[in-house]
Amino acid sequence: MRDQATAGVEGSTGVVQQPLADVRQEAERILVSAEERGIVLRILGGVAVLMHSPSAEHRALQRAYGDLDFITLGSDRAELPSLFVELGYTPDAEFNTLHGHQRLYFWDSANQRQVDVFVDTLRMSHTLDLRQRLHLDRRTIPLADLLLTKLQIYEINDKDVRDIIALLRDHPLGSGDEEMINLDRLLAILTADWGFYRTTVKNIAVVREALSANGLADDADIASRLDELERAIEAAPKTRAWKLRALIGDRKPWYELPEEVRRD
Amino acid sequence: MALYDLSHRIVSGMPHFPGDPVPQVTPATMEPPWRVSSLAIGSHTGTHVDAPSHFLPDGRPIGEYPLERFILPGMVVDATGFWMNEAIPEDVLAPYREAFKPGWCLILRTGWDRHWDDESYYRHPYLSDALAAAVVAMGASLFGIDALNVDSTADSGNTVHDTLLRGDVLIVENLRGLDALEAGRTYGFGFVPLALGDVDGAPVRALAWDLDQPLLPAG
Repeated sequence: MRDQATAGVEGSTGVVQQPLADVRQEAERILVSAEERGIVLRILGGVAVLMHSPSAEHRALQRAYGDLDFITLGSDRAELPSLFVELGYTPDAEFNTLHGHQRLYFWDSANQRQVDVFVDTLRMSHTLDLRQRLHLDRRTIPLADLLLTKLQIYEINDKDVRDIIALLRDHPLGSGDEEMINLDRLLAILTADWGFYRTTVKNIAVVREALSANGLADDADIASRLDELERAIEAAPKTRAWKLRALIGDRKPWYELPEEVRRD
Repeated sequence: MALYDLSHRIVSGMPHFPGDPVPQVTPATMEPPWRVSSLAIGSHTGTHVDAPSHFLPDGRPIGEYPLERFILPGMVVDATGFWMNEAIPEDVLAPYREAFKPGWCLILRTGWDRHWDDESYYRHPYLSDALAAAVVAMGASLFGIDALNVDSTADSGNTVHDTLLRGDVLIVENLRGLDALEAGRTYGFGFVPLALGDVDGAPVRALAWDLDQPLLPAG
């Protein structure tokens, strides 16, 4: 009997398995294995958006999926190398030795795919501490944090923009994390960190332009949620640190340009 | 031989149409070592077929249909890439009209079976009235979809059920695994219902097989 859901090599603890070609099925396999071992591991990136937002599969928003990004807790970090080896991955020993307190790399040679695992905090163009947010969803981080991981990208690309549109198309802004984008969480970050705010405002403008390019300019849900988000960000009171940094403005870089290491 | 299972497994608490009986599969009290289970399900639980009596007051029940209506050739039509609760237009049929033959089944692949365990499963794309009318006009004997409902569930629609069942097109809902089938290619399909009589529908074990290979080994 052919069954796509169980395709691939079955395995049990102690037996090295084979990563699946389908990136979504592979993400599920990794998440289930981590949960079975009691490891807190949550997926980020486009595959996480795909899990939460059916609109990511709409013809106007479809995109290719490459590497897999996860985040774990520092207390569970030591468990990850053995988990990924058992799942058929090769650890980047040198990188993990040097940087493993913040980030880990694993390589899937069968599918030429890299797995990045952030530890506690996402450090890219901006910094997002996720330690208190990893128990709110069994598979991914909450929608607000998922949106923040996309909005913080200074050099945002077309895939990231499509992911932002899909998230906003399918989920209202609200005051909780259950199937809605928690506006309180967004504002807590964006009213305390002027740099994060500055990149977010820039990216909202990029998303607006992309709506037209993708034939979605008339989509009322997306446009109204972008308006709502922008209004809320501008209206919310800012911290003293935010205001002081705002005085300097664009005269000083407000973002990092993270160096992406990829083994292919 | 390649045999494709297109059915969701029936388990307690599985996704079901709002208001329908909550599926329950529980062990019955038995003398050890015997085991028997109690099944409490609706006639439209899981992967199931709708008979016309599901919606039409004078419609035929499932028990009046011969087995030939449930074992038949057909093809998958690709209709992936639509929004939640979006009406799927008639033009998705265009690439398949020439090859499709009256009496076959037409299976619409929306890809929504991926959301089986999510709240978004209930906000699936659905058939436009024009698409439903076109399915009847093409002479389909049975129409299947990998979503909860051929109508909009979010908007409590019913016009597609009315059109298809009035046109004597049986409806199979909650299919899964259509990714394994190639759109536009002819397969054998089976959607054999439980042997019920004057009932409005029944769970089915839905499957497909390659027509260019024998279903049973020779000899």
